[in-house]
Amino acid sequence: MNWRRDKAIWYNPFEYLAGYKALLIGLGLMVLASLAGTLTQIWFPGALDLKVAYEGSYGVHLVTSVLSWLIVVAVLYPLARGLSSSKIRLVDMAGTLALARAPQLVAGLSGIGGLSSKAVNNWLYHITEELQGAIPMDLPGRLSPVEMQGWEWFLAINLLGLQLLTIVWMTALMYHAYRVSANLKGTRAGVSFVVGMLIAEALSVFAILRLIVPLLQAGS
Amino acid sequence: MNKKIPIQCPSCSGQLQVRSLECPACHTRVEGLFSLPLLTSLSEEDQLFIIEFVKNSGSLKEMSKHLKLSYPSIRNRLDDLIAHIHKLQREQKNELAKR
Repeated sequence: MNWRRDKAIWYNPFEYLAGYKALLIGLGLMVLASLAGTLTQIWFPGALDLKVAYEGSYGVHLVTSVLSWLIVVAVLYPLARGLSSSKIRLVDMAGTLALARAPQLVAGLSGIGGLSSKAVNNWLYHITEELQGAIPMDLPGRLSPVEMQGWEWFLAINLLGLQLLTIVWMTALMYHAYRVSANLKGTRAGVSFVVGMLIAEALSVFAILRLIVPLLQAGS
Repeated sequence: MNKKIPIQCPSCSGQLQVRSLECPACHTRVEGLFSLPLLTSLSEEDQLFIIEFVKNSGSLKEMSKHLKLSYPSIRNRLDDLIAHIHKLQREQKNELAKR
């Protein structure tokens, strides 16, 4: 493996890996990312979303991840079929888009120790306290603050930054997955990807609200 | 040294044509104006791709294994090559029509 290939693996591995191989690796990583997310309270609800300090079961994490990926495939595949003159295989689109979600594992693992969750919990606590001071309201399930040292804050902010970077990385990977699978280039690839992702994001958030939230309510 | 046939005019970027051909054994020379075959108008990389394609009996799957590239990468490369060949053929047709 040469240097150029080594480097490309981080932002566009799809020149070398696609189809069933990418699908199997991608699904395997999705299972692991959901497990890591369950343990570290990091949730991936939607096409490009990441939520910190979410306590949910492994089932909810896994179903959300798989559903979000399926919605992205369901939106981008017909879009690519309509725009590209190449013969596009569903397995390439599904496989590369599954593999493109690999950064979720890094995001999930970055929550180990619960520092980012603690920081977000404390921020939310302060925000709700301030809101309650300004507008008296009765919020259900109020948060309680968690004690954090200075170094813990420092580490938590860095971890939250890393989690944000994983979203950027995942978006770049998804774009390359779409571009390579559909053989689209330039403006056509960029604009159709943005439009597709906006639709997928809206659909996935709607689907999660209609499927996962009722599932949670039924379980509690 | 393996010399490459220049296919583009360094001055106007137009397609070059062959002016004369010579037998290296008896030095007989044929002069005229001959168009280069379409395949020689392609880049060296594209020509190597076509050779690989033929050697793999036209199987993109076999090619992807052999070249260690993904199937869509190979298919995209072929589609781009087909589009490029269509473009060259149109250009050659237009040049012939101009004469």
